[in-house]
Amino acid sequence: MLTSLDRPVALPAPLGALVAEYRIEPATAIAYRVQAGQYIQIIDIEGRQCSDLLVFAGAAFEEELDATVTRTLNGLAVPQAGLHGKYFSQMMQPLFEVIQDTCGRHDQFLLACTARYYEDLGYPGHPSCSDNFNRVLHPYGILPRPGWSAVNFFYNTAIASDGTIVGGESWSRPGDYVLLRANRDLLCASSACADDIDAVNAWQPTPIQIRIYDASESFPRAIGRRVSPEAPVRLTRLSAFTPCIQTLTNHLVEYNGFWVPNSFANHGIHDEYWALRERVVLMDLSALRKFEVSGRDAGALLQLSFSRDIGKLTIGQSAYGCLLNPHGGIIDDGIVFCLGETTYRYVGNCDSDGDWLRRVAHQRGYEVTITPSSDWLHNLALQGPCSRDLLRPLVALDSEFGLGNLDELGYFRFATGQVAGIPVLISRTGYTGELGYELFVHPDQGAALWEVLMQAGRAYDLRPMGMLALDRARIEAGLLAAGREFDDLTSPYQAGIGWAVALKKPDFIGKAALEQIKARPPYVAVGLVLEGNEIASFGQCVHPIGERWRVGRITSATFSPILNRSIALAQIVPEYATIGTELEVGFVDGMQRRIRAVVGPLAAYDPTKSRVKA
Amino acid sequence: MTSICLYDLAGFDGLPVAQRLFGDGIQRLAPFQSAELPLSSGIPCTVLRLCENNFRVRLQEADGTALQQAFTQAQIGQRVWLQSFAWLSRLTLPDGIERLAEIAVPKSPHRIAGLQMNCAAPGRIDGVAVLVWRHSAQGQPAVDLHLAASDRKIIQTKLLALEFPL
Repeated sequence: MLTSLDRPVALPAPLGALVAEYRIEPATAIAYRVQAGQYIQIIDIEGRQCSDLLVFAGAAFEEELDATVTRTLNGLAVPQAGLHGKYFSQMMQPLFEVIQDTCGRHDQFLLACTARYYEDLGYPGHPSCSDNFNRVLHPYGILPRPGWSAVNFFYNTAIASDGTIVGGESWSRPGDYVLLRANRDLLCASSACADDIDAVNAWQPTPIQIRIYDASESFPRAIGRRVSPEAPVRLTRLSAFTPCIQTLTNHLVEYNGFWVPNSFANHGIHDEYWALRERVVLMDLSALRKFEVSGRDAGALLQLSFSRDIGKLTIGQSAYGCLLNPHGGIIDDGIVFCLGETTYRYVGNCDSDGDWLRRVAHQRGYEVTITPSSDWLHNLALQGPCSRDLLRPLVALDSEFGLGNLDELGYFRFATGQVAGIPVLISRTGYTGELGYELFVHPDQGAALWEVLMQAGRAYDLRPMGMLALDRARIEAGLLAAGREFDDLTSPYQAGIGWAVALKKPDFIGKAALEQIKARPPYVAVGLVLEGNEIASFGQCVHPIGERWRVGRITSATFSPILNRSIALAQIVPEYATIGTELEVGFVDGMQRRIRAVVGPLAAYDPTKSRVKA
Repeated sequence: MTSICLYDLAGFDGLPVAQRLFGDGIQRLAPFQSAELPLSSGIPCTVLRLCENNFRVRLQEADGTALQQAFTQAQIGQRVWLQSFAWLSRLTLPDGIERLAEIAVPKSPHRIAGLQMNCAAPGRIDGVAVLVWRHSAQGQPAVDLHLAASDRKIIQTKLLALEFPL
């Protein structure tokens, strides 16, 4: 249920020592100076309010913010906190960098609102941000313009596929902010947008607060995310392993609320990939979300919510499947670990999984508690054909799991124990298509575990692996990614994990819909092997040979080094999904160049899973 | 001193043509990594991968014709080109990456400090774009700076002022 966002407005506490603070009344603007290194926080006090920003540098303010340069150098419509967070001048020099952003939706395509906009809609004389800027910049000798190119913070616009710039009510909520750091001495002008004639400011302009913090402050780069409309903003986190990882790479990107490595310095995607396929790699997968599901009805709740038959799990066993909605769509995919008769752990991708499980439990009157454990369980994946050999001498398994040693830990089995004396849960699972283990550890001992494994890995020429190589490996192995192969409108039969649906269970959420869908899913997941070396991309259309009309689309694609072929995962109408069928993938505009592709199994690499089961 | 030249190879089929020229080992290179890989005729080359399908070949100038001839055979039916750019220049320094890291600013997320052998990183020296490439040339560690020919004197002057041996 969506809830009203109206709430009493309270200005958030300052983030650090204030140098200056300004309040911009609705439909006005101010100009202010900021020194190099200082931070600028622009706060939407009441929510749904845009604030446009102009920035100038140089003795005569001859350099100014250039939106086109900024977009081009970042390859992004709007810079984001992290690697591509800088705003540039027309001289291609960085002026400032976004350090934190709790809204995530801004505009850098349109002008600050102009008198002309209002005039054309029948409001001659209406105040505008551009006119307000002209007024406050006049004392600095900056000539007026009818319309200023600005960064329009909290202004909700996007480019539609037909090129239209679409927009609407701001996404920002009370207290949302952007935090910027000045790269140079700057003259800034900020507005509280004057637009009260459309949805941009929800027809009700409200004030903006500007805070300037000292250059001696150190604020981490972060993107703010909310799990639900009511939940507080949570900034991008570091895992227990990130400090170790940061010594090895600067190439970190935000993924699911964590800073994770894309690749490692002096190595890169190919080296990491081959280390996975031939030796062993170490990855930080702490961005997975963990939930402890316990209580008398824990098993019943998971039996109802999860696609697999939980009743078949014994203690120490786990199962991959998905949480389902009533129409058979995949809410999330994940693994259920059976820790005890009334104790389970669900490991998925979304914080909201816990909310969903709680809601189902409440509706059914189940006696069960769902406790998020992501903050005290960070996890590494040790994957590759040498992973067992590396781990064997380090591991001592707890006796209650009845396993003599690591070699007895079967596929989708787990046990608690110690690695070099560090308490861990060791699970024989992974996301790479190789033999491998996932190690769950308390964050306090995460760095020690990382170092132990890196040290032991030297004998096997271990590499740390980043997300780029992981994505290549999982596509080869036919493993799904949320947002690519599935979302909540996609059934397991369409996504290629129909085998993970236990239709024989007496009841589970989505069962009725899935019984219908199974007979003829609208699409089925397949692997494609393309002719030639070009790599397909997400969303490209798949056609019968010589036909204009489509039979499916690409969901993921890569070049497989081990197969030396361009491969893809695709979802195709059942009539064209038979293995061996020849199809065409539309490149360029979909018509000018077609690349032949042959339908194959979802996993192009090791389709029998012999390696993970070895 | 032998004269060195650079050739660039790129196109849709850059990787398979590079494989034909230098062997399958080339597909193990990540962008900005290099290896000493001889042509099938045995001519020594150092090959730097710049992206998925783009490669830069460093070899003795006298061997350029042999590379072009091998390319002519390898590129049949493939969409790829081989060029030696007049506007691209090269300076070779004795190995000393840490000293160079003091004056060269890497393009994030690359690192010049600690750059390992057979790795490269784009960066800038006094605002001038350079590609810093640490590699082994005939068994001797060296650093190549690839830069626009028009910037060569600026960088040479800068490096000489800092007493870099050129």
